[in-house]
Amino acid sequence: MKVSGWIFMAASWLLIVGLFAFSMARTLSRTGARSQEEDSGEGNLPGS
Amino acid sequence: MQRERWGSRLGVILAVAGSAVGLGNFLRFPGQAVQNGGGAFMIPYLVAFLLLGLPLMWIEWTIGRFGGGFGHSTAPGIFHTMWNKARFIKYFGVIGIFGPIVIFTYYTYIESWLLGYSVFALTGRYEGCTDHAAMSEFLNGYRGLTSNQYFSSIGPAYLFFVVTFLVNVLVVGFGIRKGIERLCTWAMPALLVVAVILLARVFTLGRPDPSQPEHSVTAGLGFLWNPDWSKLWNAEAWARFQATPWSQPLKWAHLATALNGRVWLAAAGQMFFTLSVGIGVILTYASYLDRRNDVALSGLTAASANELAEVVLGGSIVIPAAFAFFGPALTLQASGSIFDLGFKTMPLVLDQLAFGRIFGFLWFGLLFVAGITSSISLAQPAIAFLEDEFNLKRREAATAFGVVTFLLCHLAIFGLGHGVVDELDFWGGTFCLVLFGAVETILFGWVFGMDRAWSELHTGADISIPRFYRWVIRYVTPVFLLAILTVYLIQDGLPLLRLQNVPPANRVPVLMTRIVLLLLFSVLSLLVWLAWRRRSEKTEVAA
Repeated sequence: MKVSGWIFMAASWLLIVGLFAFSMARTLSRTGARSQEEDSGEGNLPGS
Repeated sequence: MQRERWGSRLGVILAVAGSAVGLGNFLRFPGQAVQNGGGAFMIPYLVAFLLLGLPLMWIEWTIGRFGGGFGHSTAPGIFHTMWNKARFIKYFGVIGIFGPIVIFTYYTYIESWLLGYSVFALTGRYEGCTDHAAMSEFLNGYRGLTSNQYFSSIGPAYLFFVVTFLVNVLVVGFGIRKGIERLCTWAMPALLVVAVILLARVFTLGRPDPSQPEHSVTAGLGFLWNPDWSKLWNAEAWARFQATPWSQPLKWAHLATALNGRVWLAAAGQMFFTLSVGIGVILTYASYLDRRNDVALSGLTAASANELAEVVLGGSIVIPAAFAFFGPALTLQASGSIFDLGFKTMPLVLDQLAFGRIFGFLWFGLLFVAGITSSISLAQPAIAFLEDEFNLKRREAATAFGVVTFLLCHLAIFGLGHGVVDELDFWGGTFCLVLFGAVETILFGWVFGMDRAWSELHTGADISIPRFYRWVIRYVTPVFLLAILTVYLIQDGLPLLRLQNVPPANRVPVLMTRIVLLLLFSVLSLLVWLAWRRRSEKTEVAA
């Protein structure tokens, strides 16, 4: 495997793992912060 | 009627990720990457992820939630809500029900092979197959294409199919929260854990045969990741472009051919298939969200979870393992079709590992679970349509869906050797995805209006999407999609309609398949027409 291959692989993995880690961490922290009532999906009406 | 809701936010993300993570990640992606030059494929693939996959993910989450607010869970109603002045637009939405049904008819059959192979791995049924030819014989016997020493009939394959089909219908019949969410909440993390174990095992394979240095894990990784620009760019066409005066329209044709369209198309097609965008499934899942629920972060989470499974895990298991044991030549030969790599090569690879039976059972079991979470999502749009528009109860809708698709699945089961699955995959799994993606992108960015669309996307959002994507969603993604459609029509349109690429022996089954698909599309269009007539009658009575 060439050096350019290692760099391309590392950059791609970094992008994907970074996006996943960021989004999952943010999701879990927001899920904890939001109340059960908000997540229950009550009131799904236009403009509600 | 009380609409069902997701039990938790993580549940819906896992369900969408479960829909996206499936056979595409662990079978189709390695096959596509090998067929399209490895490092040459990865460049357009990552470009397609950023410019096509992510925007479509956000578009579908947003318009799904928007339509859900008006009581619609499927594309006909959602499209009508977005552009109610255009009476025809709801019929474009039929694609969002038709496509998943068509994919479901062959996907569940292929999924059932995984269940069969996981059992065969555990019982050592294919251990007598020691080379690629024997594995091909085994697979063909199993699928009933030939009668041989391994299988005398299609009976075992049919039995595994019936079990798989029943599992699908039962899970969907339990409903959003009870069925899909419960399965995805444990299946997705379990799937990732097993894949990581396999990844660790593959990465420690090193060079199994020291006398053949090119048979190594790093050679496989090199094939996938060494950037290869030469296969993406046609130097001769570029020279013709430069030599042609600007006044000649042919100049632009030279520019179009300067890019290797086949590799770009393959990468874009893989992105649609793998993220489950353009199918109509995400619209339905997102329609069960509350308007205050985030869609921006959820879409990003589901897309990145899928890419983690595909690029980091899927790409690092099959190709490096195949290179380590068989070397480049046989790996390329084995990727004749996506199923060759998964069903013919991996059993041989896994058999050469310590605890091969366990690893084989885990590998095929993992793929089966991934397939189930995807196929149950494919059933969702049709069932939701019957629930929303005809007030059927979930179990009634699931039963109706089950009866119709069980009959349709027989096209794939008994027409496999006659090109029927390829035909179903083209219309349901390729053409419809791109067409549907193009329609919803134009609706979102141009009809709905970019300001309103951007505002809708950010309603309740937990992240702020870079403004660069406003421009991408409005211009780049639709142009990309229309270019793909144009290339399809120019390169494949007429030959496809004339059955030019179909062997004479397969023409009757393929033609019959097209007639069945046309009938299915007509029936679904008629149901949409009936549903809207019922709605207008109710409105008149209420008035």
